[in-house]
Amino acid sequence: MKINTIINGKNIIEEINPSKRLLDYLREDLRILGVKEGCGEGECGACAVLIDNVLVNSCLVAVGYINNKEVVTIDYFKNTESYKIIEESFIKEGAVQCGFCTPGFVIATYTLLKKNKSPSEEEIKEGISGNLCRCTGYNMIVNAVRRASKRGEGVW
Amino acid sequence: MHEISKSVNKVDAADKISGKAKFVSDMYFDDMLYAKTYRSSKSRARIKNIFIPDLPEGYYIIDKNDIPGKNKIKFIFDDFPFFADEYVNYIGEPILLVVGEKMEIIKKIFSKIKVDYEEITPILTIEDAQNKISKPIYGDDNIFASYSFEKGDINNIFERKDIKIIEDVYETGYQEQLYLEPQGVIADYDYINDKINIYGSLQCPYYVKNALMQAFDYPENKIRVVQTTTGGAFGGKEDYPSLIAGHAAFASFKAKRPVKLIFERTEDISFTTKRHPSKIKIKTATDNKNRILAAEIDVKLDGGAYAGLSSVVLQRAMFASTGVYNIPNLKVTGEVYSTNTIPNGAFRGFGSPQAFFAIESHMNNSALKLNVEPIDFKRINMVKTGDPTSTGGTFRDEVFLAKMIQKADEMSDYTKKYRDYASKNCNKGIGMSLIFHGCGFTGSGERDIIKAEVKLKKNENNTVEILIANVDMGQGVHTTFKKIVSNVLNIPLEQVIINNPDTDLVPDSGPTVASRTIMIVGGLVSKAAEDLKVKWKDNEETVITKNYIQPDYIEWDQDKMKGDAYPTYSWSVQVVEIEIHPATYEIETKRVWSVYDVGTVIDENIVLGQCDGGFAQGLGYGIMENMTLKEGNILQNSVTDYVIPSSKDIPKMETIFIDNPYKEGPFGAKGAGELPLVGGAPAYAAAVQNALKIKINKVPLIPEVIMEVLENENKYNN
Amino acid sequence: MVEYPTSLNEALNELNKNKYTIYAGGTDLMVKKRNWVNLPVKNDYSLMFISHLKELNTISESEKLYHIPSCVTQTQMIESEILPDIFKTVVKKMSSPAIRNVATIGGNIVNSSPAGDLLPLLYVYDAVLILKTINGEREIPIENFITGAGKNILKDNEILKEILIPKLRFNNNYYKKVASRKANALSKVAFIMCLNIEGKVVTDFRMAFGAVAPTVIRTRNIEKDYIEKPIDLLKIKSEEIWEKYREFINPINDQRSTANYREKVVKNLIEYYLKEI
Repeated sequence: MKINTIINGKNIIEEINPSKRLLDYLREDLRILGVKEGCGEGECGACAVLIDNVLVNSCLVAVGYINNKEVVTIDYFKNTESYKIIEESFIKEGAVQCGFCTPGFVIATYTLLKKNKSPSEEEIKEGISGNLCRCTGYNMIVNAVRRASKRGEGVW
Repeated sequence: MHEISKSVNKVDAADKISGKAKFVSDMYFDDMLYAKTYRSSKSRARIKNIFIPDLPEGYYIIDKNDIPGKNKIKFIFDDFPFFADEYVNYIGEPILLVVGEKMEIIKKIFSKIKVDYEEITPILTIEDAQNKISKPIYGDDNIFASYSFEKGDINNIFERKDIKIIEDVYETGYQEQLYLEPQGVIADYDYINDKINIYGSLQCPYYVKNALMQAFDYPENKIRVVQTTTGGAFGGKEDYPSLIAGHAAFASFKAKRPVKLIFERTEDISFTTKRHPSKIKIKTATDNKNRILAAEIDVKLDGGAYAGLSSVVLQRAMFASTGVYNIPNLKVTGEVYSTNTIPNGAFRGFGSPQAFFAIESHMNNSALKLNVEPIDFKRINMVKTGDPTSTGGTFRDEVFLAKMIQKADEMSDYTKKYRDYASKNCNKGIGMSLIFHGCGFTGSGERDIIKAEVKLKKNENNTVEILIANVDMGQGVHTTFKKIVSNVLNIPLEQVIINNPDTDLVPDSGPTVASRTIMIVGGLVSKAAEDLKVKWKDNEETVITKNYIQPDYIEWDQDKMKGDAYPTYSWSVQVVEIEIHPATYEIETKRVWSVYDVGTVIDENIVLGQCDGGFAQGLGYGIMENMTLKEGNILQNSVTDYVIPSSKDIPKMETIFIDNPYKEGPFGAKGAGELPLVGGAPAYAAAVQNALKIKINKVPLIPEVIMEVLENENKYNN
Repeated sequence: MVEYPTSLNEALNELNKNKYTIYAGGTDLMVKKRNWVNLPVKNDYSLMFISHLKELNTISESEKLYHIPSCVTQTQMIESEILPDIFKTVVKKMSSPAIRNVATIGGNIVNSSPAGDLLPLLYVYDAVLILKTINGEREIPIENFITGAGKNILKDNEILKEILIPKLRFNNNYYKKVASRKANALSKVAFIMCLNIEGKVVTDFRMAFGAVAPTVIRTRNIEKDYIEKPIDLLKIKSEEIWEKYREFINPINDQRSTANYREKVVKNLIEYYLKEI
């Protein structure tokens, strides 16, 4: 199948097996490595990307789905102002331990704050509920999201 | 607060947040091949025949015949093979590797491989092993290791008429580490220099190096192991990587190309080491003042098919079996059995979670029976400064348990709530656990086995590089160690360098386990920095080497298991408040309060992160993570079915630290990595008991188990 | 092969000529047909992507019905200003934000899993499915569409086009999803009860259970007995109602839970929620 897509700002038109996983296409074919495989079942969120600015687990996407759509990964998102606010917040709140889950949390945080710029504690937990972390126990990540929401006034 | 405790930005945070940090699966080499492990589908069998299809060019089968040296992974015992020899002993045991360039072709080859098994009756439980229902897997009696120690005279006490005897059995289940980054290694055989290079997600580079030296019968300079940024480990990457590093190395050696071996998640859950399930029997004799005069404790662990670290897990469980209580007459026995199931291994706590669940639940159950409040019963029996340990050593450093309980009570309003919930049927409960964790290796392990060495290299440009074998697996070693050196030398953090260890460049400072890294290795690095401070010459290169010297006061007899099992202890008091849904028995955690004594906190955010994360794993162990086997097969082998806490399952956690600097630790720090996990399950057990007024003997307390206990209680009462 | 049709008509035309595996949100398919890492998904036939088709995307309403086209995502259902609150309550407890963003109502229905979270709600609401081929449409009530665990009557050349939801009136809604953690978990038991009470009389009463049998359990004959009767009567009848449902509840032991627990919980939930009214 021929797909026409934009990945991290680059337009790609390619004949491709539509059944390939988007995660594999990004990592193996395009060597976009900020997206991680933690479980392959859509449970852990480490593979989260933005498809048309919407949070999606790339391990659950067949690449034909991204036809006529735009995909952004952490590798590109990190150049944005939103990223800088989230990055600073995660660092200051000690929300990063092994780091494997972190890019996924960053993308989830962005989509949460874009929709809801001042989320309550419950809403923050709901927004990141599809991201699993085994290191932090989540409290410090929740603090980081709250901090990003305050710091990013005007941006979200 | 100590100056050093002030949180700094973690030095590796930015790279991790941006996705720039490279994990092993992000590494690609020219000419790289992929590998997939072909595994036994039987719990126990003799391999009669293996049919291998014709292989296309560039595809290889790697098996026991491709091992130049010994087909045994160098662990404590000598029983764990890299590849199954004639027999397989658990479902998933590696038989061979299929290696090649394209996964589709590897898959095709896989589907054509056929193994003929002659099945043997498997031993699937501790009872099966005890009853020897089949030919023993290990030795004559399926016991990998058994120990016993005692003090005083328990028989004297148990024979008395004026005491109350309480006896019960406590069970804990499997736990899977579920590090977010699956296991993986890359082996790159440099055939020009005849040197094997390993890159991997691991905790102990020198363990892997030593294992490969034996497997290849190669000298030191021909094996190099480099740790890659590791996405969580928790003990699951302590010994297991030696197995897969071997596999990848044999493959690379044969193919003369780099080989990448990365596990799929279901493979990882199904076939890597887990926490040992346990059955602990406790019998105590209490006098009329509620003093426990004697205890007889037997610890049984299920070791799985191969010994691995089982003997050491058993030891720690036995030393911890009396908890924070001073029991003058004691007999502790323990055995770890071999069964035809997944070989078990290290997981944060390493025997302590099992032991503390048992003893704390025994104290809670006893209090229920004796009609006294658990905290009062515990206070009467808990240790004080200078009291003997279970093995006749001494709690030399100040024990702040009483103060910590008081603080925890103030924070949580524990006493008032406990009484309130105990007095009515309200499905609410509050529970407290009292825990210690022995920091470092047992007894003289540091002095006789590890013999840690560290180096500090001061460069001509006045940067200082820390050379140690310990890894950062998320717990912040790179940041904390930089802080230690920068604080001693009074130089900016940026002037200190630390990299992921490469065995070609760093000395063996020992494994990243046993809550030893900050206390022992950090202590050594701190001392080395002090030496460097004296010897400092601007713009000159200096190398300082420091070797571990055991403090005089540690006396330990390994044969009799007598004396100081650990140089010191960290302590915790944890309180959880829960609400149980009356229709579904689901537990909701309302709040958590913790008080810790871990000596000086080297970085507040980092240590708090360990406390939070450890508690979350303790919550999982106590009420959520359920793993059961059916005929040797793990049923919950996906992240969907093996359930760990999500953000919505953890409430706000409040944590405070008691200041109690330890003089042998850097800036007074003790171990903090494992302790936070241990208190979870016992606190939940206590809280469930407070709510439902039932005896708790088993974790995890999933709703199905709670319902079962309630139904049995009703039956008993009727 | 036409993997990416540009209109519903083109899709239906193609389906009539060749066999395809329909890909809506993909979140069930990509797990069910999972292959080794780095290998494409093991679908039986060529994939046909349909969630972009504009005929399948927008929720609307008519006088008596809500119209939910099959590729409406769960997130769209939560954000809809048209759908009643109970729909949002149910959807919010499903999976996770990332999955809800692409998973579709149609996918949940056609997957026909015993634990499908939308199904008990759709059964209670008497949902009717519009199944379309190139030759025409048929309307099938949801309880006739799903025939067993993972089984339904969708033909090879057919697409689930739309779900029709009658605009029913309930002033008391209760929903409980019992799962192993608070987010992102499969149901062990699902319970839904919707009532309309006018004065002290029950004018409508519906109950359904998920994940305790191969298909959703809803029994109109049992509900009938309590309609046009006082609410106070219904509230004390949990034991009686349980005994009537007992023969239909047929839970299993699996890696997530036990039959004993699931059965007991159904009984408990009936009692618990009747008391709540």
